[in-house]
Amino acid sequence: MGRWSSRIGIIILVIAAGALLWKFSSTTLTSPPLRIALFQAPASEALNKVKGEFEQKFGVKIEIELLPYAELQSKIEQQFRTNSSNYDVIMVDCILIPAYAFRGNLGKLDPSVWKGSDFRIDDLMPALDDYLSRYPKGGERFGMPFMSNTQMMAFRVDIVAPVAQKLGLKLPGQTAESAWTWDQYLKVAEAITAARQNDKGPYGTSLQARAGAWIIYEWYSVLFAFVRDTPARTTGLPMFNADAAAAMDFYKRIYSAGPKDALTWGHEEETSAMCSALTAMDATSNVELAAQLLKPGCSQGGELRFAYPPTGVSGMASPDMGGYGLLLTAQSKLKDAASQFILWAASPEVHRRIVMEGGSPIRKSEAADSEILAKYPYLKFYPSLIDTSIYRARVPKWLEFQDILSRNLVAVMRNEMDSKGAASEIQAWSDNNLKK
Amino acid sequence: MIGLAVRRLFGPSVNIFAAVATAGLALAVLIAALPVVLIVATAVTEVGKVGLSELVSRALDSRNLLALSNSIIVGGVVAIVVTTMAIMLGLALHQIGLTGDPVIYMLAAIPVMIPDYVFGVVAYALIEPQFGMLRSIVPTGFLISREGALAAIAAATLFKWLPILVVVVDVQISAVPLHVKRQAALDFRSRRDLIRTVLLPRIAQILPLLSIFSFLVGFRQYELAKELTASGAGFRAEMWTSWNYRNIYEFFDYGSAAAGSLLTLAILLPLVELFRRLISSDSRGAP
Repeated sequence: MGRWSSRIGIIILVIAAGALLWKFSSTTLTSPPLRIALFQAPASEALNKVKGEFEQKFGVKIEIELLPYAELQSKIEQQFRTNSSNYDVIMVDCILIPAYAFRGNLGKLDPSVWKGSDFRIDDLMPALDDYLSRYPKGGERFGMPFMSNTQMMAFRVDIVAPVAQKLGLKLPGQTAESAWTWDQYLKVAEAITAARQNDKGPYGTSLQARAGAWIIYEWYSVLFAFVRDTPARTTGLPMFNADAAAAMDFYKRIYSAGPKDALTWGHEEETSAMCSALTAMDATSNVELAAQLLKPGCSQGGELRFAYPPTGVSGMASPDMGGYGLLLTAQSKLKDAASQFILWAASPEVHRRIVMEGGSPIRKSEAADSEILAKYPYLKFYPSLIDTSIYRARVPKWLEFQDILSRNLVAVMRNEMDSKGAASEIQAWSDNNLKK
Repeated sequence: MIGLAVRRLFGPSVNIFAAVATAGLALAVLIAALPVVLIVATAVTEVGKVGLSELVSRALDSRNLLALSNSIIVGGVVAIVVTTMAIMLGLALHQIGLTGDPVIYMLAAIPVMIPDYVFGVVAYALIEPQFGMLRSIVPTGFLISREGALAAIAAATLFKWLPILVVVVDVQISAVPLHVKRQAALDFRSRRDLIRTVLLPRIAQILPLLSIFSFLVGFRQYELAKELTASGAGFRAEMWTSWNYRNIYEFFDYGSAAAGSLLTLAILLPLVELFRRLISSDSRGAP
């Protein structure tokens, strides 16, 4: 018994020593991999599929983590706050870029390190490139755009056409000239909802009015329909005055023409409502999710068409730009390889394939590519949408500001607050916190 | 003094193991106290930066107070309902002769082990306005009202924690010595008398534990609240833990978070003590 136990002890010791040796050799004899954190989306999955090509070409091992949005954000935040980031490249939502850049969490990317074929940097859509890679506007570059997003109008032709005809309106087209105004949109939405009987039939409009980022992403588009200050379209920070109050009241009217539960809806619920024809129109449909609406399951409610978004007092539409950048972290120890990877992912040849797999365009050539347009026809007016898009304010305290905006807007929608009071509360917060 | 404490803990035969154990204990207490020290230090630093009145006004901010009151409401409702139901179910198990049944103990542990997001998925499948299986039964707008959202949070907390608290009651009942039960069976005419004179006083001894524990479980809900309401009720149903988390991890406003934490401590400690005294005075005289 004693001999057996000592033999077993020796075997365990040998295995443990072997494991230690293996661990030691694997960490010291091979170069460390590039660690990349991406938000779970079709574009990220497409990038994950083709990463082997980069490994072969540049001899660098890639480890990609695909995480749900909230998990990715909280993981990155916690690592940044504790100075323990172990990612070299991260996929960052546009609204978070200013905060990360301001706090020094991002590393500077030099496009001249690119070793592949012609990168064609001038092919990137300029507004998008600036918004998803730099901070402040025109400032330091921290990465490259990876996934873009803006809004367009989506509607069910069979439901909308008869109502529009009754109101003497043509159906909205795909140019700024043929777009509806917000007033026309609201009239049609109200008429469709008014025709519902016994709680049956489609609602006139869809919304994503869930408190927080969702409602503000949508309302900002309505806000700029009322803002007369044109320069504010590029800063995303207008004065919250009578115009903003009017935008709150207007959004409240849109809400009254939509399902009551839209106050709990985010991107997915809104897209589902359009897919099932529970709602007939969406003025701020995410281009990023348009492919979902083209799936066969959504065809039962009749023809679904995309149009240029409604225009406001400026005579222009104001779709809200969004998207994600692939950015370099300040703590990366492999900055050159990480920069190379970011540039590779945004390069014409690789990114085109990502768009074909369900990503969204970042290059002018992608929005004009016949194969891409055959698969995603709505992308043909994408560059013009990007050109007229407005931004959410590029300020480090955006999330807190978004919270203030959201609280006040929701209070107005619930009749708990008057819109003028809400607007002045927002302006006061902005004066105290964003302009100091 | 430390030597005296060690002797008291381990007796005169104090040795190296006891000393190490004591040191470990002291370290554990220190680590446990560290967050509190950190919170106080952050608050003190913030007082130096923004002034005491600003910090107090931040702590008494309407958002903080609303979130705190939501948490206290959910905690209170959960405490009352869970405690009452746990006692009733514990007695019911006794009535049907299942006291101390290991199968029931095992089953009771299952809900606690289910991660909160599973409750979120189940709730979504049941009551989501577009697809939920019970959408025709659940009133429209249930989740967008503060009352509806808070009720949903309390209900899910109840489902998750009630079984394990029934086990606590059951353990207390099964700890009644057999000779006491036999004597009671001889002395009393009915089972109701046994419950009233032997079991209930016994259960009363753990009333503070049951109620304070379930209050704190309800109070600290965060993930569940988000999962169940999909933030639908917006800010009116925001729980304090969720708001404080956002203060720290989204807004990096450590000062407000620290001030809010101290405010919570100032409210919770007297509340818990009041709870304990009320219940202890009720259960005085238990055998």
